[in-house]
Amino acid sequence: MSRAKPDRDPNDLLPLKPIELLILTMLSGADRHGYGLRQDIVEHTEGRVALEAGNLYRHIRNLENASLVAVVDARKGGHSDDERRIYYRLEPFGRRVLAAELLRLRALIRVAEANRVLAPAGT
Amino acid sequence: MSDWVFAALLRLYPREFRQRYGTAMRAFHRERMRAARQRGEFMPVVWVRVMLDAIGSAFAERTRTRDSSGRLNIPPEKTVPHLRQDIAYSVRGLARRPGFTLVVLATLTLGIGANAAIFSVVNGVLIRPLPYPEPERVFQFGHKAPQWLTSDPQFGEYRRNMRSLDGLAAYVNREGTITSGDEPERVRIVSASADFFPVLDVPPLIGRTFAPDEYASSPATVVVISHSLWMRRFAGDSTAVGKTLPVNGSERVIVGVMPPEFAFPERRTDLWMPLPRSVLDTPGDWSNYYLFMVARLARGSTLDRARNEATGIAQRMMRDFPQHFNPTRPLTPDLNLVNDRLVGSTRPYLYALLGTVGFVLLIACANVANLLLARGEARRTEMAVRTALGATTRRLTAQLLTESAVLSAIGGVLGLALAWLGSRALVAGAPASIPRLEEIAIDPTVVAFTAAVSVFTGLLIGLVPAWRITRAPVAGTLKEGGRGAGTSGTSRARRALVVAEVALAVVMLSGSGLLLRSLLHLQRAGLGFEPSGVLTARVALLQRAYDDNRSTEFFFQLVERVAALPDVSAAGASGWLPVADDGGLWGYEPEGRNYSNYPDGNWPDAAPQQVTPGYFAAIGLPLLAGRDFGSADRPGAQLTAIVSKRFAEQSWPGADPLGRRFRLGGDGPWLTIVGVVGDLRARGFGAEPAPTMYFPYAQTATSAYFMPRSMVLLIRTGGDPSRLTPVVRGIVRSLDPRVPVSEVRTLDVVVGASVANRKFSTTLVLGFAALALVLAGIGTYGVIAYGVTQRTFEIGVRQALGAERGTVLRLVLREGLVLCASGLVIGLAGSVAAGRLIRALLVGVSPVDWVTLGTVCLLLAVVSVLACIIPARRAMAVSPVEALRGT
Repeated sequence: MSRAKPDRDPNDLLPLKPIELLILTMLSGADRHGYGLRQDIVEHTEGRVALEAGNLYRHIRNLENASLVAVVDARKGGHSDDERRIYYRLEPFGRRVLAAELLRLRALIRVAEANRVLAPAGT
Repeated sequence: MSDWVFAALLRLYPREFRQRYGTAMRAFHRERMRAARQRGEFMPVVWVRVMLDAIGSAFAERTRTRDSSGRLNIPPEKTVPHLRQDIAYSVRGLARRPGFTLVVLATLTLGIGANAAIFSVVNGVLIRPLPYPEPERVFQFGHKAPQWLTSDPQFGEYRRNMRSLDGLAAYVNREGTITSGDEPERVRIVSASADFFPVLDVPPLIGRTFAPDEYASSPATVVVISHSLWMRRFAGDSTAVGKTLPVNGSERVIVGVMPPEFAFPERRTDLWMPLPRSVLDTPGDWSNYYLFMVARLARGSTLDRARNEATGIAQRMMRDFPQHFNPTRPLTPDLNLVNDRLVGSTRPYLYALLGTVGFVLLIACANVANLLLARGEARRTEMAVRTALGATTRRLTAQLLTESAVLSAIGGVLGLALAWLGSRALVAGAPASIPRLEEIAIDPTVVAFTAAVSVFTGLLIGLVPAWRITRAPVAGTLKEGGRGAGTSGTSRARRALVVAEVALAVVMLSGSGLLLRSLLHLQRAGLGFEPSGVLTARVALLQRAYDDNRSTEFFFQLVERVAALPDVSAAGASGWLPVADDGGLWGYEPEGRNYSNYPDGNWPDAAPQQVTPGYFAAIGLPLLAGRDFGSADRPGAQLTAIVSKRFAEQSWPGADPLGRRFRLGGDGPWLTIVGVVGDLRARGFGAEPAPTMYFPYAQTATSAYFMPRSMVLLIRTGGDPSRLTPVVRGIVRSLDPRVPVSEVRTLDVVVGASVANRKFSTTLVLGFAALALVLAGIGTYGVIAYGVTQRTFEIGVRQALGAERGTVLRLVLREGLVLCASGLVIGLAGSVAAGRLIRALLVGVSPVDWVTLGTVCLLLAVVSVLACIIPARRAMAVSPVEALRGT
């Protein structure tokens, strides 16, 4: 996996690792910086997933290499070096991969619902 | 500090990754740390997580880049068989070299064991939750100096208006006497308001706590007793509930027994009684500060919010009732979590200890890494052959790491065993002043910590050798046929490790030196009195059986009879015992002075003390001028007082205090000063002596507000003081068999407890520092000796060409001393930083203390010369012929 090709099939990248799925989902709402992502994930998983720096940025690197996310042009303004946050955004291709993964999961949920593992989602 | 540690951790990652994400990761880390501190997370745990993440991720990064650069990828399903194979291979390899294995394991066991043992103490004292549900919501609520406590009307205001609380309770600490049985017993009683048990939320072991209507009757008719009182008086019989207990002369019904772990407000509290509602509801005295408060935060609220709310209420009270407050002494609420309050003074010592054993572990790791590097040198050929046969870097690294993991895992198990022994020794040797000692044990948290430390150790000792070995050029090594000198990179790594070891040892030595100097300073400064050879005992009369005259008569007779015992040189009694008790502070007005003489525009304060004649001789406080109290200082005679030196200086600077007068509270009767005594540190070694005023016991009812019924007897004797215990009990019984004698102990024991914490931790830190010094010495020796072995050929050539033995000696010594000097320089810089970190623990010594640093340099020089001298002698003994022949 190296450079992005314009017409890759999102399904080639499935399934996503759980943490990749979490990161992509969090980015689908708004651009976030590293610590913000950690906070979103901690909140969403009620503290069960608390990423440390190395682990988080290794995943970001993988996602970036696969062109699913990208650095937002550095936020201009009077930020001191101390607060130099780097924001990431979900790329259009990343959004397609995320959607493909979620569709895959939805299909899986349908099966589980039919098998009475889950009650069908309420209307 | 945290920032550069993280920057150092970033160096573990491959450069490419670091350049791409380093800045972002540092920003991440800063935010992470800030948030962790704000939430009050336990920082060592956070750091362990951050380090494990960095080490793990960096390792994954480094091996990943290698594999993607064109080598074969190992299919994942092969990993497990490989692991098993690697472990078997490692164990066989270690078993073949028992000497090497033993040294490595001993070092690791010591390092990991020391960490686990100290952590078990930290865990028991600081981390394990208190036995209250959600202890992070339970806090003590008082005021900052000078009020400290709370008055009835203020308690009412807070209770009515605080929205951020689930409950607020007031309580009073008292003493009482249980009069049933053979010997009357003195007990600690807590009278608490209705919210007390709901706030703490601990159900009784048997029976119940108080019903609402039981707060209506005054005096209280029911009690809840502690587990220890239950065991002591009822031998744990469950029918005790429902029986009556005579407390302070009235029968009270026992309604419940608390569980053994319940120890609020103190472990020694024996029983709890309802604080009658009528006491709190009567419109009482605003300035009578006597209530303690404990509260539980409402769910979702924070301590900060409660603090703000309380401050607002206090300000409003001061505005609405200005007649009750002195504007120069505003009422400032002070809220502290019960847990912080309990362990607050112990915490810095424990952190210092944890830091110390961390250093010991790092030094141990450096030593072991060094040994592994040396061993790795011997295996270069093996590695080169395997690489040539197609083994990947990842495969070789994994195998080397497996070896260090096996070592550290065995070290971890042995270390845990050592910690088990160690923590028992620590508990046995620890002073009782460390809170929650009974909580110390090897529990799952300690085991988990030890496991984490072992993993960390394994990575630390394995990474450097693995990294070096997999970098060795294959072709060159094979051509050499495995002979010749080690690669320059490896010997550079080994030197760096020794320098780091020496630096760490220097930091530890100077830190422990500073602590030792503080301890010596305190002990030299003394307390102002002479504690050895004195027995103390508390004797308490029943208020209703003794009026002022009878009390005076009782204590005078008691002191007289005790003083007449053979071998007793002096005896006296006082209202409270220095170091053990707290005398409080009373305001007074010195005659002939006015307010404006005092900095805050108020009359000065001094500690009051009620004493019988003979007290000063008994405690060993020197009379500097004037006379001691005598039988003439009776009610009706001239009211007299004796004051401490500081009292005199504070009241009439530079003037002779004898014959001058002062009065309490600005409207009491005038007291004439008849004597001056020395100052004493009533709050222990660390405190400044407070100005003190002494009142003759017989006059206290008139001159000092009230006459205390509970007094501490002090007896100075030539022999062993504790031998007098039965005699003293006998004398008290012969005077009145209903009077209890409690807290019988020697003054030495009382005083010892005041520095016990410091003495204990200083001893441990010194011990660990000595261990560090030995380890660093061994490390230096190892590297130098190895260097000599490697250079046998070179030394032989030099000798053959006519080098003197002295030249060879200088050559070896210089190598060792350069290493130590580098370590020393780095270590001294570290020592200055460490000195600042432990500043809070230092007394009478500057964080940068030249005496300490000088001693450390000297000590280190001696050790490094010793470490070099043995290899140097071996170098001098090299025979040129044999060296050149290559045997």
